[in-house]
Amino acid sequence: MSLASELAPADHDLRTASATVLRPVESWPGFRYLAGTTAVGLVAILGFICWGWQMYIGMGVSGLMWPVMWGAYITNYVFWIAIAMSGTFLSAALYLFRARFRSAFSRAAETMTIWSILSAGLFPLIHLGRSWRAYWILPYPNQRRLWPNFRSSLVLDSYAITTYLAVSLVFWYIGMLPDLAELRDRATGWRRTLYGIASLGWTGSIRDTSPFLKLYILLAGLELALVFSVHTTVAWDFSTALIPGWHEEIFPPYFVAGAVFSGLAMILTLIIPIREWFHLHDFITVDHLEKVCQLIIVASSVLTFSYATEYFIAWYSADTYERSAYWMRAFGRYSHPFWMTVAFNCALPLLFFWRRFRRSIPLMFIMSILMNVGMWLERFVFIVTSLAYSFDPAAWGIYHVTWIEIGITAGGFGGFLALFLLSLKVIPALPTAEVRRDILEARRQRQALAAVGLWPPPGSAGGGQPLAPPPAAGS
Amino acid sequence: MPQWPATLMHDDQPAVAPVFRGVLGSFADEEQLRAAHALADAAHLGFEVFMPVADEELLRHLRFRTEKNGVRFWTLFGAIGGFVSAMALTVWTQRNWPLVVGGKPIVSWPPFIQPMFEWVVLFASLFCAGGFLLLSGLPNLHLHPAYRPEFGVDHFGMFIPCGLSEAGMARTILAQAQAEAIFPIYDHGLGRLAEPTQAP
Repeated sequence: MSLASELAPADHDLRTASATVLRPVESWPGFRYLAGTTAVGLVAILGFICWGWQMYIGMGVSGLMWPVMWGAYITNYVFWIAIAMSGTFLSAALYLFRARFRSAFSRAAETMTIWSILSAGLFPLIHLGRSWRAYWILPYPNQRRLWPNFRSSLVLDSYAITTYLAVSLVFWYIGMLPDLAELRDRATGWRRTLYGIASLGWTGSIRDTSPFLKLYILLAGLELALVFSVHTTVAWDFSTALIPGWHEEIFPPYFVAGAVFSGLAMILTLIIPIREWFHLHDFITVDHLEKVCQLIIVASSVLTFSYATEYFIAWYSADTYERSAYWMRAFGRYSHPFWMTVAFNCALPLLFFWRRFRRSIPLMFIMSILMNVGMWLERFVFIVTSLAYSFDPAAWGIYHVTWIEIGITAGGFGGFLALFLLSLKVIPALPTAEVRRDILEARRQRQALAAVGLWPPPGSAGGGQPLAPPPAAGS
Repeated sequence: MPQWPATLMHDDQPAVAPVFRGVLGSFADEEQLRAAHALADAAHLGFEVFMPVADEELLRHLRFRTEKNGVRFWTLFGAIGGFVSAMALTVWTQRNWPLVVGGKPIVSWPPFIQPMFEWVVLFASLFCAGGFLLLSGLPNLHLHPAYRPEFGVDHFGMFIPCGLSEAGMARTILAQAQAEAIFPIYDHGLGRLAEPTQAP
């Protein structure tokens, strides 16, 4: 049996599929959704209060102090930019490879990208202290003829992120046009007007569809190139510095592998509650989730290999400072988060080799959260330990995370989750047009199989007898 | 010649004489649409198709090759524009404020490649989206008069634009392809849909 026939929801036709996917947008939210959104929204408000307090009092309320001047805020920045990277990576790559299980995740992944870029973009502003001067990084004409230094990887990073936000927004919005048009046709009153404006007059005609398909494949290709460049640029923030533990050539691909891993874990964390709350069991099946778990095994293996390479190169280089940095990472003051990183990112995903773990949704959900924790700690460990234990032991220092930083970090998570959940009440959680295409494709395949007597499958209810094996050669 | 009512306007619509635009067939199955396409093609009639899915295979069958449309050229122009703009921005701003950092040359090409790449992708994507909007005629405040909501869900539509003299042939073609319903399509020159009634 082909993949399309396996994965398309068998009990739905095009109309019921649309109705089921669009129901959460058109109906009142359930209690669990409301409670969840309110809870994360309150955490986001807490984060903003902490940020306001930091701006009022000053950066002294954070634990940032020489020699560790990059701490929880930059950790959050790298964490969120990785989540953003992997969302679009997942959507674009699966589209280009024509993966049929894409429709179960693409909308959630793209929406995750948009909100996580915004979360990521907030943290350099928070870290800046005087956030209101962030515009200095933009190339705006001024009397003093001051321009950004385009030889700095930090400036390059701001260009990478703003480009990524713009292109991801285009990819997300244009891909949504057929769904918005369907919502327009089903809505009444002011909602019809709003969806009418948002859908730009899409009718699904050849005139709309033909350039749309060309546009979408081009955008997917461009996005794929962009995601690699964005996280590579983030990696340069560290690898262009001379700090032991940062100054490494492996950083760009290692960052990309980590981003894919954390994004896949985040997709599971987000999609599992959505599947329950929005009753999308027919469209996000255990088979779909199992495929994400299989991808996690691959990403985790690449990540583990990268960790091992880092340590090997530190040893092989025979550089005292490099060896010292890695020794202190594993056995110094921050050894607990380091070993948690190894446990959650390298050992835990190995459980997915067992089918029981890949098909148990509660286990999958818990493991995905732990992997996210592991990925946050990974960034914390390599950022902080490298600064805390740099060249001269006389210049070593310990960084303590303060409650303000914890509050702002939690606020980042709360804000991201609240915006993600709220947006799925306005736009469908799944791309309905693609779900319909999958159903249509599955229908075509079934018709083709039925034409040669292979549908329903032999041995199944309504099917014929299993086919006899072909005669052995020579018989 | 179809014996359909000459005007099908709502009361709240302006009293402008409706113009006959053509005949629309609604199909529940894509095979019927393919059959209608073959018949319309054989009769050298133009047509517009509405599909509930953006499906490349069906488009190919209808002989609309997506790789042949102009979006790719827009993308290329955008990419070239982005490259030139980023090169101009980086080189000009650094020469305008020549601050030496870390002993590196004022115009350092290796780091400048990064903003050039970003702007290639940015401009290519924005031009790609602009080209799509231009070619598809979006945003369009008024929906096509033949568009019906079921074409966004589970039905395929084939609209054959024609005058009243060809309406009979168009209707026969759609009926032969087993259209579920056939509608005469009128509009008022304002692009507003005059609600069609099902053909007898």
